[in-house]
Amino acid sequence: MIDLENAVAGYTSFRLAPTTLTFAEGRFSALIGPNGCGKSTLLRMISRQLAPLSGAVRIGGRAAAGLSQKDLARRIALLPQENIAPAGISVADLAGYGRAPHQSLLGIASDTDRAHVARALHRMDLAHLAQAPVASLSGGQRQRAFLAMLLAQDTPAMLFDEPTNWLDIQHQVQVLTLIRSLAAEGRTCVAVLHDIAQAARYADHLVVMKDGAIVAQGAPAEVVTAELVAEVYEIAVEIYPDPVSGTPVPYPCQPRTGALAAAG
Amino acid sequence: MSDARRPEFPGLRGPVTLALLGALLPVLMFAGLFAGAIPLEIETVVNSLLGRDGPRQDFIVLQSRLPRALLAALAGGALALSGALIQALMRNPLASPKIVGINSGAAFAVLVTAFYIPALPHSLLPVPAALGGLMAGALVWWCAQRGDIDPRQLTLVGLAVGLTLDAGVDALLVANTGPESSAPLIWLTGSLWGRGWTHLASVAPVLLTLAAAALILAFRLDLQALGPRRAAGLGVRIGLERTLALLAAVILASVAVSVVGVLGFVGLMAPHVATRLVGGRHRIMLPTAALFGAVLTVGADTLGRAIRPPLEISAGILTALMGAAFFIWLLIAEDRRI
Repeated sequence: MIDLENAVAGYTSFRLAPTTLTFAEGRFSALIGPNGCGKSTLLRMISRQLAPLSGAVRIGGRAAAGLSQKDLARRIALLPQENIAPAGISVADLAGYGRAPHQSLLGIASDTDRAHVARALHRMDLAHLAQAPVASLSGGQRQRAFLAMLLAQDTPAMLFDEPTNWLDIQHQVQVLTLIRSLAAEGRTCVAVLHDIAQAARYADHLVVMKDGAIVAQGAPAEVVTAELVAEVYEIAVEIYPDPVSGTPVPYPCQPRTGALAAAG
Repeated sequence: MSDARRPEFPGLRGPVTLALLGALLPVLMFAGLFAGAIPLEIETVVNSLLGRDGPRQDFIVLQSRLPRALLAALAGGALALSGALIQALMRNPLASPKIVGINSGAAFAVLVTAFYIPALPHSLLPVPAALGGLMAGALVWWCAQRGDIDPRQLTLVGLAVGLTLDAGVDALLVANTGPESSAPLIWLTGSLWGRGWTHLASVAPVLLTLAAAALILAFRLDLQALGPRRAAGLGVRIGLERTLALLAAVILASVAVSVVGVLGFVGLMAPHVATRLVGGRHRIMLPTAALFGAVLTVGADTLGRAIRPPLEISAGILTALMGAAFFIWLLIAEDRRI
């Protein structure tokens, strides 16, 4: 469980509104909102990359500020947006680094560590590429390799900053389903997502942000309305249920400009 | 360790490479005992080494060439390790102790000491060298602490610091022309001329200690090479560990510079070659880089004495020649990858 209490994230030049919020364990929460609304800044504060300017962040009931770096890394993991790997390491090496918070400074892998790495690679569909250099992978494979590192870290709270970037539809679905199953294991999962329909379809809980403040949260069916999308994204949409899952999907009202020209 | 059991990184053979380099080093060092102004027979060298009866040249073999070979190996290894640490910290394959200004800082401080505090015994020169290197390194550290600075920008800062200090070195040499300035000049080009056991004794403890520490904590460098944020996410106390690693890198390079001068390109080339040979995991990459740096330096020093005896060509000139070719190849290779 992750609790924010009047927590203010930001820098001297840019800060978010004080946020009080709970991400429950066993749930997949999605942060949505337009570009630059502060989603990544919020994630960075939760993972303590950014100290709150005021207020408190608690992870599993304990103040994040009071945890040692290693304790923190055993409780919460973040998948950042950029995924640059050093030269000359294999996919298995990278996933193995996820075990660092569970090892001594020497980084000697135990059988448990190896089992976690093998399982993470298998879950990310990378077992056959375990010995491939990370630098030789495609963007999508690399993203999955970093996800495998996150899985190997095996933390009760997991944060994902736009985890579906770089991925084709097959692996987007794979990753979103993975986050659902991680939540089903009892972990607290929070992901920044761009696609409202995807967020509504896969997440249990939506948190909508605009201009550094939370404007709505709740179950997808209640949150995703034409009014809210108009207010937050400044675009007129109609909402239809997803034919497969029944969750809300926003469709922009504005027709394709090409179609207009042909009609005119 | 798991390493023995699992399949190897494609095309890379860590332990074999390490063993080959490890075998090559003593062979080169032995070869180095023959080369120089006075060529020696194998019998003379072996007799001197073993203290046996027969033709012996103890002074040349035991007091001059042997410590010199050991020192070349040690300094080359230290520069290579320093380069590997810096490249991991800055996540920039083009970074090296020379390029970020550490070598120049050390050289500047050594010259200031040699010219203006001539009473200081030579065995203490590693101290001002380390201080000079730290001075240059402190600026880099200060920039690194300022958060998310682009590693390439950081390299440019180091380059600027280095060039400024190089200008300082030139100014010192111009202001102190005279018979006493030829020794510093030879040293500056990266030469082992006139080095002996006292020099070895003055640098070996600190270099060996730091090298051992770097090898033991190699795994933490793996994590740091992922970048400060990811490393912190994996439990690395980034401020502390980065500072310690940088401190080790600075002292390794500066102390090496204080005895062998500015050996260009060893710190840049060795970690690169090592990464290509055995991959990027520091546990295997660091010892490979250190051995490669040692082989390179011992080889250059031997070659420099063998080309036209009794003339000596500074090892630094030879490593720089090799390094320049290597650097151009590297830039072309990096270009192709993009």
